[in-house]
Parts: sequence; structure tokens; C-alpha cells
Amino acid sequence: MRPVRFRSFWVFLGAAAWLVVFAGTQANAANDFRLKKTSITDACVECHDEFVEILKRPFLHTPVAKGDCAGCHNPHTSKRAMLLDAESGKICQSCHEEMFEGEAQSSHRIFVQGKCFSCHDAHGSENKQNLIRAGSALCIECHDELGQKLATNKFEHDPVTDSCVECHDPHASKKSDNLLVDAQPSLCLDCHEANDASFKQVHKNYPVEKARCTACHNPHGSNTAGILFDNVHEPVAERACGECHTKSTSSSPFALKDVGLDLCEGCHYETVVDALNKSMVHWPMLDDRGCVNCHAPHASEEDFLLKGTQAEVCSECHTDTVDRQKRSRTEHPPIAEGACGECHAPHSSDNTFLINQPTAIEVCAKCHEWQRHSSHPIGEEIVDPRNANVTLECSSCHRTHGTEYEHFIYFRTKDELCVQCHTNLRR
Amino acid sequence: MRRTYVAIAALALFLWMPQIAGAAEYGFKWVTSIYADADGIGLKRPEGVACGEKRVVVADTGNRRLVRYGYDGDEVSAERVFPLGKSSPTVLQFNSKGDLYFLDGRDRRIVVLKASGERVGSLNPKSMPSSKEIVPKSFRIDGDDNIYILDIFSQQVIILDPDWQLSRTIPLPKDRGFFSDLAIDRQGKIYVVDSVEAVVHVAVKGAETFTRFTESMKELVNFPARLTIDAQGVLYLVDQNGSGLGLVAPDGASLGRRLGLGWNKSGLYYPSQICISAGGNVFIADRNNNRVQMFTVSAD
Repeated sequence: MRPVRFRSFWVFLGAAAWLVVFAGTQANAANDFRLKKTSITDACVECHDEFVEILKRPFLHTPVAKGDCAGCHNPHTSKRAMLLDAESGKICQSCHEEMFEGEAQSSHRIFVQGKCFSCHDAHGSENKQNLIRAGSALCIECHDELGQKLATNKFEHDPVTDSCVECHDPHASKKSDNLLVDAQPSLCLDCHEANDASFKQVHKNYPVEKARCTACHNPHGSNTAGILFDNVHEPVAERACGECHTKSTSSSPFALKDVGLDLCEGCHYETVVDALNKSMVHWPMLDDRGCVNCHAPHASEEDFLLKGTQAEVCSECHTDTVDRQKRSRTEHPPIAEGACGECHAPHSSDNTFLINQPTAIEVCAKCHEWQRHSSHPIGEEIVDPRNANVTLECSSCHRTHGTEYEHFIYFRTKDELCVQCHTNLRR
Repeated sequence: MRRTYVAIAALALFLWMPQIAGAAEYGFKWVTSIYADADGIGLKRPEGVACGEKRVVVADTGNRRLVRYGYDGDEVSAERVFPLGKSSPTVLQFNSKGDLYFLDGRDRRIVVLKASGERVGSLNPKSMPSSKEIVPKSFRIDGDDNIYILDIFSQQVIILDPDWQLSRTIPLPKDRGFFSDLAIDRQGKIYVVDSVEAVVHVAVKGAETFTRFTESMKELVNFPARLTIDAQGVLYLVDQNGSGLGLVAPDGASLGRRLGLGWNKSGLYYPSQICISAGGNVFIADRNNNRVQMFTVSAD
């Protein structure tokens, strides 16, 4: 019996020691930091009592749900606002690494900038994915112009009313531009059945399922049946595709019947003849693309079937000129508003820079009427003292598209400008 | 070990020196400006200029005429005026016989005058496929009188022999903004400039395609609308909107900008065509300053 008792003693002693150590460990696990409260959340909420309500929200950020405030915040000190442990984007990336992987074809600017909290509530929300608003309403807060357009559309595109993320990835897209979750046309064909008889009939049997749907349709809805863009090229409106394209049954049904300007000239004869009878033509009109350098051949949101706003279209080639205004200290309204056609004739002109008046002074006088009765002497009689072959005009002192100086003058100060000619006043 | 370092340093210095020298060589010295014809009628928006050893011809676009000048050193004298009726001359060249070729911006045709001024007519390439329309944006004539036409309608460079017979065509690169001008060097390389992308492409003699010669040079030039090349193979890009020149070394590297916006002598205001004479004189059609300026390029 004696050896047995001895063994029992050691077993008892071992079990007691294990219990002491285990209990101690468990106590530490519950309160690693020797907090007064039993969990970090409780400790935080004692002061941040607004979290009592936040914690009741149906969707909680995982660290919040786990009571791990220190997952994102440093409870003692930080260089960043809200005691965040890292920059806002980086701190999200530390868990949501997969969002940032791979090469994107397009990215949402705020996502790249790490402004995750523009869309998500870092703690909890009434909406899935902790979004601060549900559905399209969130997107429209920033994309307000689009929101206004959506509100006035006669013809809606259902996914837009449901949620933007039906078509767009709000973070980045690896497959397409414009954050589309898939490239066209496969994105559209997820819902639209191309083999459907009515689909074929309405598209005059052209294999549009291989084309870009947004060449004609406004994916956000429009005021035109079939959600075509609001300005429709007449042959498209009349479904007379064969006016410009070869037959739908041909081996290359989208091929054009002619090249460049020659194709458009058939209908727009007067415009073309008028343009080509001027001394200076806008050369892109005459290349192999012709009119479609600037115009959308099917439908557009813009007047004159422009491919985009005037500023967008012009800046495709004249980036330097359009950007000059963005850098300019003083805004010149027609340029800042992207109204290039206020001063320029986009097809051709008899005047340099394709201006739409005989002289630069007359262009300026369209708005600056005051300069007709009170201004520095300008005009064909006033010779520029710097160059006897040049007469003074508005652009002798002002660079119309902007400079880094006030009133878009060419020099840092007015004095510097004036003494270019009035050399006797130089100090 | 030390020898190796010295050798590497020497090699690096050797490779670096020409670049410094190259950059330093291209200093521009203003010589004179051409403002008017012999009767004192001022140039108006001249877009084109062609030059030889002793003469220079100006496409006086706004006055719809060509004006020929003789020059000797910094002395320039107007010799003759060629009125052109309704034509709007832009790019200008002459061949070894002195025949004048100009691009009429109004009719988009290359028009030919004999050296005497007699109008020969429009340049109609022979043996071209009849269905092919040509829209010349620019053209050049090389030392053997071959003609190179930048055709933006068919997006190609058309090469004609001196009798205007089609020699061959080279398609322009498909990935493009807008091609504005071309230049031919002494080895027969053809350079084309894409003004929108600010990129130069090259086709070596006999090549069937163009290859990219430079990366985008938007840092160097805003809108390179015209192009020429000197005897050393340095490209001169006329920055029309930036009112200056961008120089590019024979290896495609930037040699920096020269000249700048201004109305006084040597200043440029929306310059257009540029030409370099065999003697190295540089003429620039300073379009919106209504003049042509002449420079020498110093080797300092």
C-alpha cells in the first residue's frame, strides 16, 4: 500500500501544479494587458460610449466583432489621427491583401489613395460590407452629375437602379476600363441574350454581340428608347446600318463602305465642302479616321455627336494647350469651361489657329466688348515695338490659354510685361 | 584591383564625354531675320522655308506667295516673288535643279514650280494604285531628288523617284496620335514625328516598317509639329505650341531645348518649318512673328 500512496501523492501534486499554471495562463489570455476590464472592447467602450450603439449594428467589422480595437488602433500613442496603427489604406491592406493583388486595368481613385473610409464604416454599418450607404446612393454621393442624370432618365437600365456594383468593381478591375467587372460585350451578354430573335431583329442581324455596346447605348440609361445615347446619328435611329456598313450577311459585316471623310461626305456634303474650301483645314479630318477622330458615328451624349465634351475631344491631341489652362493662375472662362468652339472653328478656317473670326482681336471682342472703346492701343495700325512685322493684339500681352501669371500675361509682373516694349521705363 | 577601377572610371568618362560635348555643341547664334520682300511687303504667317548654300525660299503663307532670297554671311537680299493665286503654301522644298515644290494647305496637293517660277502643276505620283487617295501632310526631297510624301489618308510614307514614279511605300506605325512631318538623313533613314505623342519613329534605308526611335518626349517638347536633321544626325524638333526647339541625339537621347518664346530677335512665336543648309545655317519659319530667322549653330 505504501508505494501506491506515494505515487498518488505525486500525481496529486502534478495535477495541482498544472491547475495553478493553467488557471494563470487562462487569466492572462483574458486580460493580456492587465486591463481593468475583462476585454479590450469593454475597456474602450467605457469612454467611447457611442460604441454601445455601433456594436448593435447588423454588420460589424471583424476586429470590432472580436473586440479587437487594437487590431487597428494603438491604445497608447500614434502619429496618426484616431490613434490608427498605420495609414488608413495600409492598415486595411494588412488584412484585405487580396484586394490589392494583381495588375488592374482600371482603379477607383479613392481606393488607390487608401481612402477606404469614404465608402466603408470601419466599425459597423447597417449595410453589407460595412458600406456607409446601400446601393447606388453611395456612389452618387461623389458621382453627383451622374446621379442627376439618372433621376431624369426616361429609360432606365435596371442594374443601375439596383446597384452600381452589378457592373462595376468599386475597387479595381483586372478585366476592363471604367472599373467594369468584365469587358464589353461579355459583361452585357451576362444579361442580354444575343441569340434571342428580337435582339437580332432590333440589331438588323448585325453581330453586335461581338461589338462594343456602349458605341450606341448609354449603360446608365437615357431619354431615348433602347437607352441609346440621347444624340443619335440619323442612320442609327432609322436602323439603316447599311448606309455606312457593308451588309450584315457579308464576311466582314462591320466594314465601312468608304474611308475617312469620304464616307461622311455622302450625306454631309455641304459641311465637308464648306470645310475644305478654307485655307486651313483641321488636318485630322483628312486622315484615314476622318470625322470619327472627334465624332461618335453612332450616338453620343454630346451635341454634334462629339465623342466627349469639347475639352475631352480637343485634349486628346492638344493636351498641352488644354492643360495650360489647368495650370493657369487666372481662369479664362471659355477655356476653363471647355468651350473650345467659342473661339475656334473645329473643321477649318481662313485664319491661323483655326479661329472663327478674321482676327484674334475680333475673337476676344466677342466677349470683351469693353476693349472696343477703352484699351491699350491695339489693331493693324499699331506696330509691336519688339518686331516691326507684327502689330499689337490681345495676344501680344495675354496667352489666351493661360500662363502661370495673373491675367495670363507672359511675364511675372505687369511691370515686366510693359517694359518689354516701353524700354525707356526699364529700371 | 585598383587598375580595374581606374579602367572602369576612364571608360565611364569616355562614354560620358561625348554627351557633355554633344549638349554643349548646340548653341544657337542669331544671324539675321527676314521680314519682307524687295518692295518692303512684310511676310505674313510664313509656314515654310527651304534653304540651299546661297539661297533661301520662304512660303509666305498669309500672302499666298513664295519669296526667294539670296544670302551671303548675314546679308540677305530678296530676289524674286512667286505669287500663287489662291494657294496656301505651307511646307516647301526645292530639288537639285532648283524646282520649287510646296504643299498647298488649301487644296492638300503638292504643287511644283520650275526655278523660273513657271507653274508645272500638281505632283501626281505615277504607278500608284488608282483607288488610293493621297492626303500629303508633309514631304521631303532628298539629295538625289527622290520625294518622300507623308500621306495621312493611307497612313504611309510614299517614296517616289525623281520622275515621280512610285518606288515603294512604308506604312506608318498603327499605334499613333497624329503624324505631322518627316525628315530624311544622309544615309536614307526616314524619320517621322508624331506630334500628339511627341515620339519619333525611324525606318532605316530599305526597311518595310517604322520602329520607335524615341520614347515620348513630352518633357522636351509640347507639340513637335516639324522636324529636320543635320549632317551629324541630330534631329531638330520644332515645338510649335512651346515656341522652341527640342534636339535629339543620333541615339535618340534628348539634347535639351534651344531657343524660346519671344518677339525680339531669336525669340520664336509658334514656329513652323525648319531647314538646315549644307553650310550649317539654320532657318526657321517663325510663323506668328511674321518672319524667318537665321541662326548658326556654334560648337562652343
